[in-house]
Amino acid sequence: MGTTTPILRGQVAEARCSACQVGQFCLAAGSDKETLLKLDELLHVDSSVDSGEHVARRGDAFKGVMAVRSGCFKSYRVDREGREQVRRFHFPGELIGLDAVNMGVYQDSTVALQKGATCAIDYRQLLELSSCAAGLQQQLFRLFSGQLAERQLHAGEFSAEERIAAFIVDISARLASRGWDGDQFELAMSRGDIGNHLGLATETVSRVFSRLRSAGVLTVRRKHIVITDRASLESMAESILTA
Amino acid sequence: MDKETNSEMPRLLQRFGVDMPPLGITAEPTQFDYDIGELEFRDAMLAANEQLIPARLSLAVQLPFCASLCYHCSRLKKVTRNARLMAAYVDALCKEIRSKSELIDQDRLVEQLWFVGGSPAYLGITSLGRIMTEIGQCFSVSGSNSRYFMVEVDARTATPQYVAQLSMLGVNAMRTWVPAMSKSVQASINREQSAENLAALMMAARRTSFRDVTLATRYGLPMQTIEGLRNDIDWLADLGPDNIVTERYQHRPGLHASQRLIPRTLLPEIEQVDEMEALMAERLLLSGYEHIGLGYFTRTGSVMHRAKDQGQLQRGLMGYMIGAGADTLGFGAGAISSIEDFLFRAPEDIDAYMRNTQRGGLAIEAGYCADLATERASFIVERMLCDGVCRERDWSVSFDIPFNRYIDALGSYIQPLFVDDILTFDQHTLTVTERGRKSLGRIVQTFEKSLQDKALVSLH
Repeated sequence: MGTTTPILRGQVAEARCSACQVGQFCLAAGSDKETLLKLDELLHVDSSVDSGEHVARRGDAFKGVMAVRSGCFKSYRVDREGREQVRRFHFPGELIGLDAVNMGVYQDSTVALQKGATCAIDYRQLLELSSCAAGLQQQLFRLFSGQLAERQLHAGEFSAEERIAAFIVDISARLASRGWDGDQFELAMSRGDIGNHLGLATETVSRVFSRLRSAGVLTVRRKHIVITDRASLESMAESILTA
Repeated sequence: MDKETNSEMPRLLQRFGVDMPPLGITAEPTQFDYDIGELEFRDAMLAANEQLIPARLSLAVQLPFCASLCYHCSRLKKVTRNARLMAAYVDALCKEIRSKSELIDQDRLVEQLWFVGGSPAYLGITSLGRIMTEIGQCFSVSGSNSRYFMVEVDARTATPQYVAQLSMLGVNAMRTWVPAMSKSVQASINREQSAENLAALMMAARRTSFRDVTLATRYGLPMQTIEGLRNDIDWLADLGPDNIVTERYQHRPGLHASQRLIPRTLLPEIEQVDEMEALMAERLLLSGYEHIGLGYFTRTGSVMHRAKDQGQLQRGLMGYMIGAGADTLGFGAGAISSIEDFLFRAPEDIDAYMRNTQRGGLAIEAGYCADLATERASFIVERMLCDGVCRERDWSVSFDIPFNRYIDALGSYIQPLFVDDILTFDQHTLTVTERGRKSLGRIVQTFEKSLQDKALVSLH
């Protein structure tokens, strides 16, 4: 094992929407061939990103949305006291930069947690295209509302166990919906990032993972997790995911 | 017969002057690679920090100074009265503690702390306090009662007041050497100690609610007799420590210069030593102690006993320690750190060690990286020595190859252990039998042999 990205069932992601495996779950889902070819024209393929490299910085002018082709990214803000606040993690097939759509500047900084790659798409042209392509419009809407739902993970009065369970179930579902293995994957983010994102102390994160492991719900080897008892995990996550 | 070559203890168990493997299956001194250094140490620390469930952390501080020379001693030590040297050593230790702590994530709690000698007490309580303060400032130290902070206490010089002072520093476990109580044996190894003081120390440890008190004794010493040993062991059991560790004396004057002061003619015959071993086990079992393995006896309900029941024992510096899978950071001359699949060793020479840390170095002189075959063998040996059982599900968390395939592949190596009723295997679980518990050394030897022959290196 020890893979740094989940194993894609099928081909390697290509740098054209019309041929991209990730693309069928990303922007291009539900689009007809004509729209796909137009998307290809809008697409700007960034070179690969190294671990620790930023793809967006808070306050920078909005350049366009980026789709994750491989790797894992973290969006965060730093408050006035200098404390980092982890907003969300992005997996392959997900979009980065939707936070900038309304204000015209990035609200979050986004950094690669491991070696990865992104595609950038001019947002205005994308909107124009979507106004005459119903499939693309629906998919854009789905992607926006998906990110809104994601926020509820760390809101509310939930136990550490419920938060972590919901976090894993959420990632598992997001990966599975894009054709990756939802039962085993690597968590590229650190314990500190997970804790920060879920509002938990770093020690609590490892303690809960360790409890889930003892209970036979997960196996954990380094950063790689395997869900061994999905029913239990989902029932722990239920109160948050249905909230 | 030559007692060195005829020893039943495998070569592996004799390493670093301890008669048990200090850290599971570990490297022979000759296997340490001088090309593995600080860079690899930093990488290993980084990888260890990055785990979702980081291993527990234990610290081992080596204080190698002694006031006088015990002839039988096989440890790294320096007999000195040079106070300036010892003060400089404590300075170096504090520097090293600071440098190494910077590489550890602060959410990793120090749950175990070991002060080992030499004679840690010889430095005095003030120096010990200074080192503890440094550790407290640099690491996140567990405040929980379940922590295990141990000091080796020299029963010749320590007072009950010293034990109380240790307790105030946060120490809650002690270990004391009682090689022998017979005056003639004590004289022949140059280590006189009184029964009264030991009893007083035990009382003090009980008053201050130490969690764990260990008495470590030796058999096979010069002038030792069966009768004398029986008296010693009964007396030790009556003192009622949590653990009694019995170690066989290994006479290796070629390796340990001080042992040249012991004439071979004073040593008991090997048959007698075997008889001593059996006698000690018998007396201790009668007194309510349970044999964990490799001469380590513990009382029902003790910290070690509970840890064993919960599968939380690990091989450590001093035989067994609590906390399966812990990373160990060693400090001081000759100290060994065990991080991930690596071992790292500090310079054994005290001056070289101090020069390194004064320059801001991490005191890593050489290292050893276990290959996959060694990792697999260590894993099983560790479970055999600690729990007496290794289950498929434990195995499969760490290794990809199916457990039964690995055991099958051990073939002619492991077969004799099944035939001799030392191990049983039902395709899922490898178990040490009652009989096997007395022959743990043979299990270690078996896996060691398979490694020496490179029998399973290409098994995938």
